[in-house]
Order: sequence, then C-alpha cells, then structure tokens
Amino acid sequence: MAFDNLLIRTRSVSKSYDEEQVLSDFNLDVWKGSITGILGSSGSGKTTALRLIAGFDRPDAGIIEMKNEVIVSDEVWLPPEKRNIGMVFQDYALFPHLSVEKNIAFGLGKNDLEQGRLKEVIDMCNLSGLINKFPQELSGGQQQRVALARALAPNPEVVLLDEPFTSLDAQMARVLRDEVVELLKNTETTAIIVTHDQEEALSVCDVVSVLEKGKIIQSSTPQEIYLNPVSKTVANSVGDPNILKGFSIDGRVETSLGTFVSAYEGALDVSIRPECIELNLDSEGSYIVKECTFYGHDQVISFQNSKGEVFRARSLPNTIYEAGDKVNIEISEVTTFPSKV
Amino acid sequence: MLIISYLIVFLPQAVGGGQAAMEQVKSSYIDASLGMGMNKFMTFTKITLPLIYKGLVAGGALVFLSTMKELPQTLLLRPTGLNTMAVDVWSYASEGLFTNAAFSAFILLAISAFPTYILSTRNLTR
Repeated sequence: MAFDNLLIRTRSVSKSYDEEQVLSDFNLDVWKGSITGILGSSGSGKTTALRLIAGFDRPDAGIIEMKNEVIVSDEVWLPPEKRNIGMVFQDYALFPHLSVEKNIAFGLGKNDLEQGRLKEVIDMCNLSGLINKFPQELSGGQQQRVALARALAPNPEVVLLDEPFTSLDAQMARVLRDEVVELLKNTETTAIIVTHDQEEALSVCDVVSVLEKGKIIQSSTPQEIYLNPVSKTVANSVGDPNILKGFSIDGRVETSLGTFVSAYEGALDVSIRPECIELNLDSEGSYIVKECTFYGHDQVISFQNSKGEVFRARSLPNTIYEAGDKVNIEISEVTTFPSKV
Repeated sequence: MLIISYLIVFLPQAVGGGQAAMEQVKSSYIDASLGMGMNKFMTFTKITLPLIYKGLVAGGALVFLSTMKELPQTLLLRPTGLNTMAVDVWSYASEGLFTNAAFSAFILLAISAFPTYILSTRNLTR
C-alpha cells in the first residue's frame, strides 16, 4: 500500500514531566489514510505522544505539523478544540450523564445534525440498539464502539486510539479489532494506534513505529520491522528472538548455534527467531530438548547445547518433543546488528 | 460572630460534598470534550457543571439541615434579639410551654423535611 500525503509530522519533539524526560527527539510521520501504530512498552512515552498530537499537553520543544502547516512550535499553538482530531481514550471517557446518542452527538455541530450525520454514524458503528442507554449500562466492547463512534462523528482528520483493546478479553479484542480496522479503512480515516501488543501492531497497522525511551527507533511496514529490525531492541519488541553474542571477522560470525554471514564487522548481536530454527529428532543430535510448551497452532521448544546455553525454537504441532530428546538443528534465517558498546 | 462560627463548623461539610462531586469528573472527560471542538467555557457548562451539580445541591442541603437544627453555638453566640427556631423550641420547652414549643418544632420539621427529601432520594437513585 502506498501513501503519498503526509498528514502529521513531528520534529524533535521533547516533553518531560517533573524532570523526568518522557519524549526526546521524537520524530513521527503519519501518512494520510494510513493506520500508524506506535509500539512501545509501558513507560516508553506512547500516551504522552498522543496527548501532544491531540493538544492536551504542550511539548517543551520541537515542532508538530499538520497538513504541512505548523500547529505547534515555540511560537505557534493551536488549541485542541481547533485541531479536528478525534481521540479514543484508554478509559473511553464516555460522559456518564449523557445517553449513548447524546455522547455521539456531542461533537456534532448544527449543520452535521441537520444533515443526518448522527444517524449515519450510529448505523455505521452498529449502535442503533443502544442509543438510549447510558455508558454505565454497557459492556466494555460496547463502550469501546461508542467511544469510537463519538470520535469519528465529526469527521476528524485523524483518530487517535490509546491502547484501544487492552481492557477487553482476548476474544472480544480480536473481534473488535477487525471491526475497527474495517471501519477505519471504509471511511478512509487516518488513525494512530498506541499499543504495547506486538501482535496488534503488526496485524492492524500499515506502518509500525517502535518507541523506546521516548524516541522512535524504527518506523516501517510490519513486515520490514519483523524481518529487518535495525537493532536488538526492535527485534525484541516484535517476536521473542534468540539473541547470541558473536564477533565477525571477514563477514563471518561464529556463535554457539553455528557460523553465519554478516554484513558487519566486529562485535555483533545475532538474532535468530524461534520459527527460523528447525529441529530434527536424532539420537546422535548435539542438542537436548529441555522443555516443550504446546500452544495448539504451534509449539515452543527450549533446547540446550553441551555448554548448557538455552535456546528456543518454534515448530508446527505435529511432532512430539519430550524433555531429554536429542535433536539436530537447521537455521534458515538470521539477522545481525552491531553490538552497542 | 455567629456566622463565623457557622462557617467554621459547616464549611468542611459543604466542601466535602463539592469535592466528592469533583472527583467524579475525570480529566479525560475534559480532554474528550476539548478534543471534540468545545471550548473551555462550553466544556464547563456541558460536562463539569452537570456532573457536579447533584453533589453541590446535596452539600448545600446537608449544611442547611445542620444549620436549621443547630442549638449550642446559636445559644452561646447569638446577638440579643435573634431567635432561631431551635432556640425557640428549647426555651419554650425549658419553661414548660409545650404548646408553643410544639408549634416551632412543627415548623422546623416541615422546613427540614425538604432537604432531607433531596438527600434521601439522591441516595436511593445511586
């Protein structure tokens, strides 16, 4: 998918609360029509990033542009009510004293209401059965849909979603996730989704930006992020790779799991994803199975070498591995990064 | 003097009610409203005020009720010539004029019934 219009751009944005630096040199590009994910662990500054873009907080330094116009800088400040940005809060923030219908209508002006926008949004989000209920009478999933409807109603330039699916149970989250993505795509709405869930980020987003300690360290398509992470941190934030230390000489690096080709010289981290290791049962094998965790669609087998180092492999569920089985391994793909000193 | 002492005794009650009400207004409600194009004044009238209104009324009713029936402070600090109904009831009763006391007591009850009604319905709907 190609996007060619930049909608939001932040440059060198920094923000600290009580002397604690939350964002520093935060650079994010959001393309019009895309779903951009900000993936980061808790405390990495995800929510702060959204609050700055929405205008609920002001950055200490840096520039935020929207449609090629500066909306935040040292001199410029566009208040949140003028930005036309919709936000779905982590706690949904539905107004408890207003019915579902009035919550959704809250951001609509007279013109919108006369043109039947309210009914359009309610139908679009499948909420017609709930319009007279109050937020406290709704389930988590329903509240989520109302919050999204409320955010979408005024046709915002972009919708910001703060950990939208974390407070729901796994199955509900999956159903709702598909619904939300379909809705965003159908309405060609640009969205920024903040999440700590790698699966969510990879499956939902067109662009994933990995946030670490207040900085975007890689921003790319989900495939690129997964297959070609630029650093150990990125590799760790998507999937659970085996990270081995090694030293590369003349483009070859020797590790506990074998010798690999590397584009870099010197001290390296070698990342091998568990699904890239194939195990073969072999009574002469040089590795011993330690433990096997069965997930149904696949299984994760931890195995150790003669030095007692433990690694993980992921395989299809049809072979049964038991602790003590001897195996040989075949490695299909590795990624190397220069070690940080 | 009497008013100052009333203030000192009843202010915490009123503030307590108001504070409990304010705690119901999460900061994300305000943000949500601003994000949907409402300015600060409109956010206050459409979100904050409706949410704290009940608490404020309840706090007021509570203070009103307590002030109506308050006796010791009033007895000690009232200026000469000022009688509250609670003082009336007390002085008539202590002189044995129970018919007069009953009349004041009845009025007092009737007036107090109103805030009590507000307070009790509020608790029932919770």
